[in-house]
Amino acid sequence: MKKILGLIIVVLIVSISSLPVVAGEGAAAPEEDTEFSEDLFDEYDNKNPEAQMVADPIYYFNYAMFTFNDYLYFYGLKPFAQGYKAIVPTPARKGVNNFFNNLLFPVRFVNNLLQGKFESAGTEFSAFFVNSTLGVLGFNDFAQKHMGISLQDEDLGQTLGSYNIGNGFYLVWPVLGPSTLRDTVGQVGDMFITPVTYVEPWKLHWGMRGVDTVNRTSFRIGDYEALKDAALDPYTAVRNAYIQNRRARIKD
Amino acid sequence: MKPILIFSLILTLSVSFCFAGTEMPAGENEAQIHLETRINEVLEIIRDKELIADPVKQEQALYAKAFEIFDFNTFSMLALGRKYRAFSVPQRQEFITYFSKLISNTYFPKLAGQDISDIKIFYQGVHALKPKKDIFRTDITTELVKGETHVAIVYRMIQKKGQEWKIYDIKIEGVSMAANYREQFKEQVSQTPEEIIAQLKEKVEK
Repeated sequence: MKKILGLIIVVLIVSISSLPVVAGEGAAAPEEDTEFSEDLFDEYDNKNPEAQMVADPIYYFNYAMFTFNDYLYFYGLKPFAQGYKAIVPTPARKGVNNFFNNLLFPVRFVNNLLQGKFESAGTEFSAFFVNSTLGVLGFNDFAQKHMGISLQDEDLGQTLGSYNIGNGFYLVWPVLGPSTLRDTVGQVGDMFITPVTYVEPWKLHWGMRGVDTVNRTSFRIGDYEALKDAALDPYTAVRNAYIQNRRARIKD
Repeated sequence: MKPILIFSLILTLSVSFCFAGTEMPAGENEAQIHLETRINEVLEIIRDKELIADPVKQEQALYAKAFEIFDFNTFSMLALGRKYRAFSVPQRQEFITYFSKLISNTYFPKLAGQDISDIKIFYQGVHALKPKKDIFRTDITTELVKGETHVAIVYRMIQKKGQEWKIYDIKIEGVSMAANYREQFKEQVSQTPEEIIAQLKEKVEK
């Protein structure tokens, strides 16, 4: 869900822009082929393990956190990120993004190994080596740009998922946002191998995390707004998108 | 212009040879070619400088073009799930009208100011599903690349007897739009078709 809004828009324009200019013009008589639709319904149904949705036993807590995060985004993070975006030129923002991405190398490396993806782990290692040296501490993603290397995003939550450990239940954390019981365990585990965790003094540690968050957000302004605007029930839309996205990432 | 023409001719020919060489069911490559053609047509409209200057015209052109691509019936059916059965035929029409408006109202205005000149689309695979009577379905996996950003998109396509291939669902980074709406509609178990339509209408007209 972290991708650029523009791309999503184009995809949608390309595909969904089928607006009946005159109502009903394109909506060819909605006759139903019962047997076929029954198939489709089954495919998208909750009984299909592929489409299984997450349990949400602490809905009221989650909803409160969702609301809190929503306010935090619109009245804190977003204006801040907009200001930051206006001041800091794109190449610099990309550099910062690359820097923090490079620092997440241990997480990706270890989780590739844990999932038996030795080739990807090797790729990670060479990318880290190249970017940290030729890419000057990771600010330049030299390996991706000039060597055609692409990194595979792996984390402990995905590793646990690949071991067939289920989501448990849905969990929305203040500030951090959507997660599940499994993914929370994963995030905590990953924290131990994230270099930023060990940065001292605490002011520098939180400063780095703050810059990382604002910088990331500066690339994604509008994504959440679009998802929210297109939704009839934003809470459910976000929950569903999170679970579907995680499932796809575990599968690859 | 000449070299470009020749190049595209060669490209077209080589593409058709590639397809001729592989043993795929007839419907499969057909779906991809159809999708590619349509996407290119739409990209052309988006890149058309005259139309960029006139957003209203651009929107109309997009509507007209993209109208042929998307199967809103099937999409609505999937979004509503079995609730769809409770809708009468006119209610289905109404639902589709507002549902499509909701989505386009959200995304169309945001097109303005987006630079899409360097977008590339890579077609990475086709997967034909088992046909059901005269209905064929194919999933087409693509990757959309803009600068250093990659987005995985799966177009789910359907062909009913005597009709063209159409998209009935899109998965962006694994998130199926139909499934996403489906869960939202599911949350409101007690809603009648009238209430659902009224809710959509209110959201669209807000």
